[in-house]
Amino acid sequence: MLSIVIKMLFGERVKVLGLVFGVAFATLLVAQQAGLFVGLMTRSQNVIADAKDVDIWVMDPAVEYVDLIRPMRDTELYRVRGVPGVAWAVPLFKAGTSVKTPDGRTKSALLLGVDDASLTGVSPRVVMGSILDLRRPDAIAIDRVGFMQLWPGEPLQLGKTLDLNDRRAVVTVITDAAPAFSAQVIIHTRYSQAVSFVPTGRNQLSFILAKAAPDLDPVGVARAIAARTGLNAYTAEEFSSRTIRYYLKNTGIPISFATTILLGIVVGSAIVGLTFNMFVTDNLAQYAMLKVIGVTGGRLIGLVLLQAAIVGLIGYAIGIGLAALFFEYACTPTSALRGFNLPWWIASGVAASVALLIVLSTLTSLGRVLFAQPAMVFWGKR
Amino acid sequence: MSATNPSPPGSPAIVCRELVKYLGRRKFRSEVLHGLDLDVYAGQMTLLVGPSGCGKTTLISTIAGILKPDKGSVELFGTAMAGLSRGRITRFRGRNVGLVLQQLHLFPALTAAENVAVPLLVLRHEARQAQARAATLLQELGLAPHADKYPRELSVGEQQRVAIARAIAHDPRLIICDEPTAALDAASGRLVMQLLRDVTLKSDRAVLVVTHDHRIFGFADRIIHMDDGRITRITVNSEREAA
Repeated sequence: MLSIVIKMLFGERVKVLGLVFGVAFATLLVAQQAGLFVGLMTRSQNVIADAKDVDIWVMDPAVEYVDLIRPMRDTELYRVRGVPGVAWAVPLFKAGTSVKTPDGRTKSALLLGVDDASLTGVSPRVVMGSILDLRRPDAIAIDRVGFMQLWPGEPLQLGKTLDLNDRRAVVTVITDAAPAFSAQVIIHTRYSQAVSFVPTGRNQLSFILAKAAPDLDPVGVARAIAARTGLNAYTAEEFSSRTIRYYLKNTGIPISFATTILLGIVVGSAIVGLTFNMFVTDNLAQYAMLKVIGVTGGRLIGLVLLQAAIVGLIGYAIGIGLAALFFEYACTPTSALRGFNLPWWIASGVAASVALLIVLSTLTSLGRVLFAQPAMVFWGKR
Repeated sequence: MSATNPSPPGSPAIVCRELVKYLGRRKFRSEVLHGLDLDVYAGQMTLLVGPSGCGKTTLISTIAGILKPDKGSVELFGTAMAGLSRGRITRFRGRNVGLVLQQLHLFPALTAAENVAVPLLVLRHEARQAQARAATLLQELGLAPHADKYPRELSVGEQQRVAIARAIAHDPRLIICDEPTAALDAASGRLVMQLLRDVTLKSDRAVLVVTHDHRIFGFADRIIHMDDGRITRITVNSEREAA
């Protein structure tokens, strides 16, 4: 019966194409937009994720997310170090700035100043050079994509110089730092040097990065830091979540993406619903004939759902394949869209959405099939 | 050729008693069958004749369990339809009734052989078994060379034979044909009727044919005349009875 049902379905090639197109379109749109959205949200907290080995982020109580900077007094670092349960604590300077190449090419940049001694907070993915080279005078680490944007067409090389607020900076390390939310170039340097690259007011300490003592729960240590210092202290996971939540609540990003995703579902449902309705209407006599031959209503519904499922599966495969191709070829590690991808759980979620779309789109048609009167096989003569 | 009100020849295949059927809703509702009594016997080809609108199609739809009677009863081979649920009626029909319709309703996306195999697949026979049975039937009906053709590639007569093969593929005990010769010329109509007699008629199987076509009356064992939702007369083909 399965092969018969499949042949009946593919006997209507144009409608099947319409159905497959509808599902594929919805799948592509939803998967691609969901992937971009998740990628964007991930970017918003990449600075936190890239600081490996850090359990706890400490900041001014006014700071809600990682891109909001309210500098603290340098002495806060010592107060944090004095909290029981803190294994170590190091400073982090974070500021937005611009960089200029000797030939005048200018880009926005995220400048991160890490602890001079330990260099904690530098992206561990080094493409060229050594992190220890950051100890050299005027040394900076630049991310690979930033390098390619500043010196397009040139091979990666160390020793290049940059102008950073009228100060000379020398590229001694090239990293694969995770992309930031908005900045095009990500620069790591020593804390002492960063504050001279971007002069600020009296207070310069953006964040304190801390590690909980072995065998201690970082959450408990974070709460202890907050209680003892009056600062905000969160585990890396908590701070990541807070940052993402901030962007979700305070920007138009989720609404924009949600609208597109919703449109994908609505337009896809409309195409699938209307085409499937046409398919069912045109085949109503055949369904009625199947009832005459002995197919019960329930079994017929099962067969129609099977036809819809086949169409859904093909459409989903095409749509998710196209979305995967997009992420594979448009979001290469060296492109501006780097870091955007299609995680398995988005693909699964889209599959569930498509299944729902198919069921909703076929509901009205299913009713028509269920109540198709077998007597209609005689109507032609009346 | 014929005699009226003959005595019953054998075991009853269809027994209808005081059958009433309404069609339409509310103010358009009208009584189409008026307390009709009918007996059709196994081993015979029975023709149901009468003018358009007299209720022939409504009657065979009710007999086949496609429509539910509003009053009265229908029994097929001793099984009362009234006692069965809609699903069981459908399954009963699938096992025991084969239909050849005027519109044929062959599945356009399926080949002739696949069309014939459908009733067997519906009854959950194995695909190989169904294909073998379809091939045998198509051969019997002279359609072996056309087994892999789609309905649109067949002539009307060939399509008709495919529809007949489909109706008997699962070896049902009752074959109902609705105007099987309406779209055919006289010669083709006779061929189809001869085929129906030769292929479908068995001692334990009844064939009920609805028709307007008086040219095929000679193929019937009994002819039931209907008018205005009632059976007005039953005639028997004495030549066939003698045979």
